[in-house]
Amino acid sequence: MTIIFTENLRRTYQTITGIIRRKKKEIVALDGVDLSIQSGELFGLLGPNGAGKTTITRILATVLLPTSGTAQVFGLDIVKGVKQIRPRIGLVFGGERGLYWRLSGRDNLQYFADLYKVPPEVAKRRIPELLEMVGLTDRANERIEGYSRGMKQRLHIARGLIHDPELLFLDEPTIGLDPLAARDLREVIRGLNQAGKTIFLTSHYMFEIDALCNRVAIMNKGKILVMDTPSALKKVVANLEVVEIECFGIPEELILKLRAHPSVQAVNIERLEHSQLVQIQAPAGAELVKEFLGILEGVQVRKVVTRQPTLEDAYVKLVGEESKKV
Amino acid sequence: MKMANFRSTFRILRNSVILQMKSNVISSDFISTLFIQPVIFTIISVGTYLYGNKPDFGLFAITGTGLIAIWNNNLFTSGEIIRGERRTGTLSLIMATPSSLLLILLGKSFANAITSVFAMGITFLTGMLAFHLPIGISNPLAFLIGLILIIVSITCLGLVFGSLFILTRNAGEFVSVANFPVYILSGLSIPLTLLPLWTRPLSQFLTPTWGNIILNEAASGSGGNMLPNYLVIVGLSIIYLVIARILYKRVEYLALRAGTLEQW
Repeated sequence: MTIIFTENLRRTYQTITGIIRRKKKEIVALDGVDLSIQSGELFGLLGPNGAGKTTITRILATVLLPTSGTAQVFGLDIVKGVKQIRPRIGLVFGGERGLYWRLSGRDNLQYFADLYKVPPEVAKRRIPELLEMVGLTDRANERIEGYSRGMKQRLHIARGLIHDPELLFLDEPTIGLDPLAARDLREVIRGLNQAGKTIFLTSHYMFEIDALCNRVAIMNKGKILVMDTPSALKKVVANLEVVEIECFGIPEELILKLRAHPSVQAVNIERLEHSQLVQIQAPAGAELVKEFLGILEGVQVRKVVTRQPTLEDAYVKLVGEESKKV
Repeated sequence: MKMANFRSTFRILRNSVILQMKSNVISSDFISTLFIQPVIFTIISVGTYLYGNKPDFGLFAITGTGLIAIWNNNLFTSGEIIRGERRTGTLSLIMATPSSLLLILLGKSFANAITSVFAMGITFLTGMLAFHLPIGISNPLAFLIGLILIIVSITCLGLVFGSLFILTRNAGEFVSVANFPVYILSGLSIPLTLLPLWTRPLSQFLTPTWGNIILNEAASGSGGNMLPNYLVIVGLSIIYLVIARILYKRVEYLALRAGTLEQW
């Protein structure tokens, strides 16, 4: 059964530039997005900042109107069917906002239970269950202004589940969490999906989407570039290998030289604490490490590793190719 | 089923009131509009009448100032509710629930109105302590009924203005300016008899006008049958609620279209 359906979905914003000569400028946040998500799926939406992930989440969660196109949730139009849709969906944003900081965790859940019209006898049972599920039972009566970021994020999940929704929107739920807290949260998400919830998850953490999702769409500049299972997406880079060179202070012109190499498919630079990690995608078995190190002559290299490509590499290749078109 | 809906509505209202009261306790804006402004306004207003050799206006000045404090507190803290919801990122989350935004904000605004009764007490106390005015309330029951009705009605009027805060984060500036005509047209800062005749219909549409009349008459014992004035306030409250309902539906739509719910 199709839970989410969009066709040629478009959303634009108007911004104003200048102070005296004010000019209106149209920003395209979504540019003809087509999606179809089935019941029980854990669907992942990947993309860099500004790709349109949050915009589409807000539209589907009925808190933003599209400019044009079709958007349906449970077969209902998101504008006309808003009253029927809202009780059946849960919405969780990443970050620390979205909670009443001066109230306790329990009071926050109680208040949202009332707003979702959960009968008191059901809320009385469900609130302790949810607090237990997200590991906040011991701190439930404390004001949440004293909670850590991870605790707030877990409370967000509990809040989003207070009315037992069929469909849960999770917009970058692990953003800013430490690795342990993020891992715990991923376990919670996996458990929810196994319990039958349909989940729409946005993230820019590739491994998270790879580990959790049945199906993935990669988005950039308001468009869906590709949509498939994580294993199918990895086939985009199946005949490639990734050379990772950790070095110190690589100049921009050398990065351009690497990108210009005829065998190189994509180059990604990851900034580490004191160094840079240059990830170069090249045909498998081409033995190009020496050539790359030759280009980087004069740069202090710490480590060189050749590895199999991951979903992240597929993402880098797809988003990189799209960026080159502009 | 209807009973269940009624209970659910009551729970939303009750818990919105409780949530807002908990938040108010530690809000600096709230302390300013509830305690500091009434003292300053009372001193200015009563002082002006007394030193202008109009001592009979002392009581008028105090009830007027008390109503200004209630109105001010309700308007600004109601705006602050929505601003706060924007700031904490909860505005779009409460809009995503099946509950009416108007109902949620009605509960929160009502919490502000209930606590703003203190402001009326502060004005009376300031009048007594600073100017030694012999202030007694001749008809306490009529005064109390009037005060309750005025608070409910001002809450409803505050919701009409408050709708602007959903539409834009810059509503505060507009409301600050729009606030003063309400003081003047309601006769809270100067007697209505001093205003041009053409302003009367506008004055009669504002609940603080009637509130001022009721409180003055109840306090001085000069009034006769209070029922017609009470009914006017009830009628105006219903009109404000109808206007607020229409406005909220419209501004919710405009805010969803403009995508401004998260801006703060």
